[in-house]
Amino acid sequence: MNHFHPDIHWLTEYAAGNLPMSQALCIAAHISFCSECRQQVEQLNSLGGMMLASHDTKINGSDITVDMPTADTHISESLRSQTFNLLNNEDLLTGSPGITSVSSANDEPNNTEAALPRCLSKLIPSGTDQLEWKSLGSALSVARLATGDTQREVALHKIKAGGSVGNHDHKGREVTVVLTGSFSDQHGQYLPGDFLVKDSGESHRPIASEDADCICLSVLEAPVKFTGPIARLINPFLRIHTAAS
Amino acid sequence: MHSDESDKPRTDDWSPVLKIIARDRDRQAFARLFDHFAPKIKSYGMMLKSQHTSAQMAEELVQDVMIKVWLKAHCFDSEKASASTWIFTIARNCRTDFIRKANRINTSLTADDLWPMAEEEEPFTSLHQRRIEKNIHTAVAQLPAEQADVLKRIYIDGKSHSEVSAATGLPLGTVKSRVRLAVSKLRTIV
Repeated sequence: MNHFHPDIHWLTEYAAGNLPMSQALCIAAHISFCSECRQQVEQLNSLGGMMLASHDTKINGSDITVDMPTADTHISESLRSQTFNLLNNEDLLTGSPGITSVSSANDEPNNTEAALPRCLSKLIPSGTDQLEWKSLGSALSVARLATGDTQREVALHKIKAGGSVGNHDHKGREVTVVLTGSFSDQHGQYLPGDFLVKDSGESHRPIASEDADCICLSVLEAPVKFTGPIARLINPFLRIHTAAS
Repeated sequence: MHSDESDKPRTDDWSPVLKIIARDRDRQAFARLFDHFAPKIKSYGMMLKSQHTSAQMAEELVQDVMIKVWLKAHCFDSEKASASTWIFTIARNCRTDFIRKANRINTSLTADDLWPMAEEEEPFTSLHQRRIEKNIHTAVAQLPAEQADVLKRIYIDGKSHSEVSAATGLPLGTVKSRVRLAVSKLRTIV
């Protein structure tokens, strides 16, 4: 049971298809853990279906009227017949990459480690151990993921068991989803599936629990800036606090 | 297949047509579905214009979506979703992949990775979901115009909350509260 969820606006933007792919990936990861949000997304998908269904009809007094084809909705006879002709080439069509990617959704990724969300299987085909990890200090390492997003840094972050990341603030919005292990900061403890958003200006000091390394998926809108004089300094009080929890 | 809904058929219920397409590969049924949904999908694709592409993309989207509907009709499960919802999710995924390609985003990720098909869901979900689908239709029709308008901009025009705010001149907080109100109202009805 997760305690930290994306809010209704995140879920709506996700269902509507308006999030950048990197952020949509975070929601996809969260709902692979969280059945509650998964159900909400299904409802929001239904809402999308209804918006599409009622799109060119009259909605409660809005002035859009039926049967008035505009440039935006007109379907030419050539488009129509072209599409129908394509149906004759079904064998050809099923060979196209766009279609096969759908049916391959059932393929199990050859992950040996415990259940990474399926949405990550293409980016992490052979487990997190095989990624190129770069050390950012004694407790923290990072592995970039190739999502093609040029405005955001998409990466896995790994905090060693019991390790602390040091205080840092965010120049841009950071979205984090815990994948394995757990960590805590001044706001609580985060378990696999938990979804957090840190807006620019917010700072926190994540500490991994003692029993396991913590791996998180994170999407940063701008580089993080460390604020503490020595980032690897571990606050003894917080450490005791984590050990006791 | 045997289940002919005992409830009143809805005007938007294209599920039986999709089932016929899946079972009989019936082209006339497909043509009917095409004529109904193609204009909606084209309009849905018009936002691609703002994504460094031409209006022609909207027509390509129509073709892509309708071909996928034809090829994947056998995957449609009326217990899980209405025909419109199913087609909406296909259109959304296709549109996302169009934007990705148009912007030459270099990644192995596709839309189908981001919106996994609901296959491993809880057994009770589909029954529940089916009831929701029935009621959501009524609920949407009853939404106040200003809430329906915001939802239309988000779902059809593909605008984020802040883009809706910029386009309408409404404060972001107002956009958010309209979404919140609309969704919570749908929830009390379903």
